[in-house]
Amino acid sequence: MWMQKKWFTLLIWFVTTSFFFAFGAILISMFRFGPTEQEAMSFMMGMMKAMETSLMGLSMQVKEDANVQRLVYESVQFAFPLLAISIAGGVYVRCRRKV
Amino acid sequence: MKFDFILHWLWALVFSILALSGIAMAGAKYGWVMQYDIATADIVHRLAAVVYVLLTLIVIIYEIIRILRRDRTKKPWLVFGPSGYGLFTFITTLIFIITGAVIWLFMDSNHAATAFTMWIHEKLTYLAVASVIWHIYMKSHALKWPKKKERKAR
Repeated sequence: MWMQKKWFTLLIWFVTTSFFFAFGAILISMFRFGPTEQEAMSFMMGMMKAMETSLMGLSMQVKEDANVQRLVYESVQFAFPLLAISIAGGVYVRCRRKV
Repeated sequence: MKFDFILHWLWALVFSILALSGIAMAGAKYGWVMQYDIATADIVHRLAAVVYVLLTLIVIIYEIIRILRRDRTKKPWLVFGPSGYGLFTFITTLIFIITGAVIWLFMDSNHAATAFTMWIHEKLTYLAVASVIWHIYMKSHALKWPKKKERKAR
C-alpha cells in the first residue's frame, strides 16, 4: 500500500503544507495594511517585466505578428484532426483490451 | 499503483502550484508570495494551467470509459464524483478553466469580460483553497506517519 510508504507520506505532508501556506498567504495579504507605495511599484515593475519576458509578452507578440498567426492557424488545422484521431484510437485500444 | 491514486496526487500538486503562483498575481498586496516576480509567476501559472486542463480531460475521458464499460467499482481517489466534494471539485474546475481561458484569450481585446472573469477566478481561488483545507482536515488520517513494523521475537 502506497499510503504506508514513508516517502509517500512525506510527499503528502509537503503538498498539504503548501496548501496551508497558500491559505495563510491569502489571509495575511487580505487583512494586512497596504499596499505601500513601494509594494505597488514592485508589483507594477513585475507586471511590466512579465509583459516583456514571459508568456504574457509572447502571447502579445503572437497577436501582433501576422506570419506567426497564420502559422498558428495552419498548425491548428493539422492538430485538431490528429488529436481527434489519437483520442479515438486510444479509446478504441482501451475498450478492446480486456483488463 | 492505481491510476486514480496517481491522478489525485498529481491534481493536488498542480493545484497547489496554480494557487501559489496565482495568489502572487492577485494584486500588489499579494505580490510578496513570489517576491514580486510576476514574470515567473505568469509562466508557472500558465504552464500549470495547461497540465490542469489536460488532467481534467483525462479524468473526464476515464469516467466516460468507465461508464461505457459499466464499471461500477468504487474509486475513492478520483477527483470528480457525482456528489459531495467530488461534485464541488468538478464544478469549480470547470469554472476555473472557463474563466482562465477567457482571461488568457481576451486580456487585450475585451477588458470588460476579462475584468469580470478575473474577479470570479480570484474569489473562487479563495473558496477552493479554503475547501482544500477542510478536505485535508477531513482526510487527515492520511498524514499519519507509518508505524514501525514490530520486530519478530528472537
